[in-house]
Amino acid sequence: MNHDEQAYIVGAYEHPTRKAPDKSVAHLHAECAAGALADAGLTKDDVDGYFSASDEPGFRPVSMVDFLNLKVRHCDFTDIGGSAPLQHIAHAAQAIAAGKCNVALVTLAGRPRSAPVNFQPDVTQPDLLWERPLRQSLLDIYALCARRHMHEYGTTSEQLAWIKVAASHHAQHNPHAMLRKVVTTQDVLASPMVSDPLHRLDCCVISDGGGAVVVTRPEIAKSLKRPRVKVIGSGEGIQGQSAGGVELTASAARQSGAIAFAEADVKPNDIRYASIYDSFTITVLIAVEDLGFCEKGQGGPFVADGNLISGVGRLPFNTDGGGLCSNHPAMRGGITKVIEAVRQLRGEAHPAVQVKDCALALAHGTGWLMGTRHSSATLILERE
Amino acid sequence: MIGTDFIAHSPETKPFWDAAAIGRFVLPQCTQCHRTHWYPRGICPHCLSMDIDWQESPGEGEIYSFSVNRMGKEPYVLAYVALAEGPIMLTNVIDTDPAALSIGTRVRVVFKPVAGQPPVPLVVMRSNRISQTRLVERPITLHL
Ligand SMILES: [Zn+2]
Repeated sequence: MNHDEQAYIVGAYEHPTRKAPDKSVAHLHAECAAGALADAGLTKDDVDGYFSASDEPGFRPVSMVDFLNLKVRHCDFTDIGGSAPLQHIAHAAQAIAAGKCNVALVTLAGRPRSAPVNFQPDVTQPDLLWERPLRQSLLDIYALCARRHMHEYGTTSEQLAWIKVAASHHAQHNPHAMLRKVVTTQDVLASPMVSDPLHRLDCCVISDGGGAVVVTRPEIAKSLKRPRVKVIGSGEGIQGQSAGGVELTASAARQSGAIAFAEADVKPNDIRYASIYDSFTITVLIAVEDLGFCEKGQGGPFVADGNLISGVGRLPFNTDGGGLCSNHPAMRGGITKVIEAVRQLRGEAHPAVQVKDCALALAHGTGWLMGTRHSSATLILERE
Repeated sequence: MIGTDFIAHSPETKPFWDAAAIGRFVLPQCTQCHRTHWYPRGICPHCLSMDIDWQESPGEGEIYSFSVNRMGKEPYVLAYVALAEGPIMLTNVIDTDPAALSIGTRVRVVFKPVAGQPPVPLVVMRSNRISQTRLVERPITLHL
């Protein structure tokens, strides 16, 4: 795609709530939508494209477009899991380039903390037939990745703990973060072993909330007052068990990252800030390798010693505290990854964590389960 | 019954369940490309041939990775097991002290009935003789 024709993120809004017992899921989506449009300086009548996933209720986009009383001519409900919003932004940029819409709204919201979701298995899901009878949790599946990574590359629990330590250093400055206390690697290792080799502090929080992003074409972006963030590269991928050849130490980020970097024509070394999906510490470690920030297997040494802490290390990550410390709305961290990257590029992150002269950022999402089947979506964003 | 529903929604895999019902572990092998796959389907996911031969397997393999969930009263083990035939299978290691396990530990398939579920293959350590001879035990609690 010609870089001159690429779309811009002009509005971004993160819901401040972490617990919303008195708000419906649809209302949370609406508050996020209103917040992002206000941030952009646009109104609901400007929206002609809507992008969403299964965190929204009812007939999904059909119910939500009706609830918000939008008039859209393009919608996309591709649900690849928690990474969906990153893919939606890429798809919105593609739809805008193809002339299918001008102003695209992407929303994510949910309240698993106030109203735990009673997940009903889809009996037609072919893989679940073999897995549902097993004793297992999603935690165990990520722990399988961690164990294998330790076996193949000598990665340690302490190295994984450094990822939580870095997130906590950032979260102390976020008044909305659920876990604001700075922790040490010893704290992580002393927390209960939930699914060996993962400790409780290797896991993200469960929160209510959500967020929204507005994507538009260059002419409209240039007519608005907000700093412009250009989507210069995007990639996606799906990886499963490969008919019995499952890979536990590498993810679809190898593909999504490579495609995004090639499209943006930049290298991992050029990235000043990275939002990396952090359902668990191991989710970050594997993505950091797959995205090319270090060699495969070197994620452990790379994330250690504060290398992900803003102002300290080489690759400041998740400066809002991420899913590990701030929030993980709807059990999905995709939208907040984009929002913090936008803050960094606009220079609107908390001063204590703002990356100096941040002109190029990456946002990466991992959807569903890295150890069985998952999706990846990567965006490369540039300040203009 | 959930299990019955599952099988009803995946009739192509009936040969697997029929074999499992009499304690035999079979693996789907493609008659076109001769490759074995897991989890079982009625098509070969290597070449999309519909011609599947269900081959009896001794059900022997090694632990490829495992996790030990310690959130409940009793720990349980989820594992990937690399079967001798090649495919890597997600399963539970049962009747085995988790402390005895490591990647590479040799294991063997057993079937245990699970209330309301089809009898998926589970594994025990190959040195665990008791479990090899004991195919019917208490139902396993369902856990999402
Ligand atoms: Zn075949």
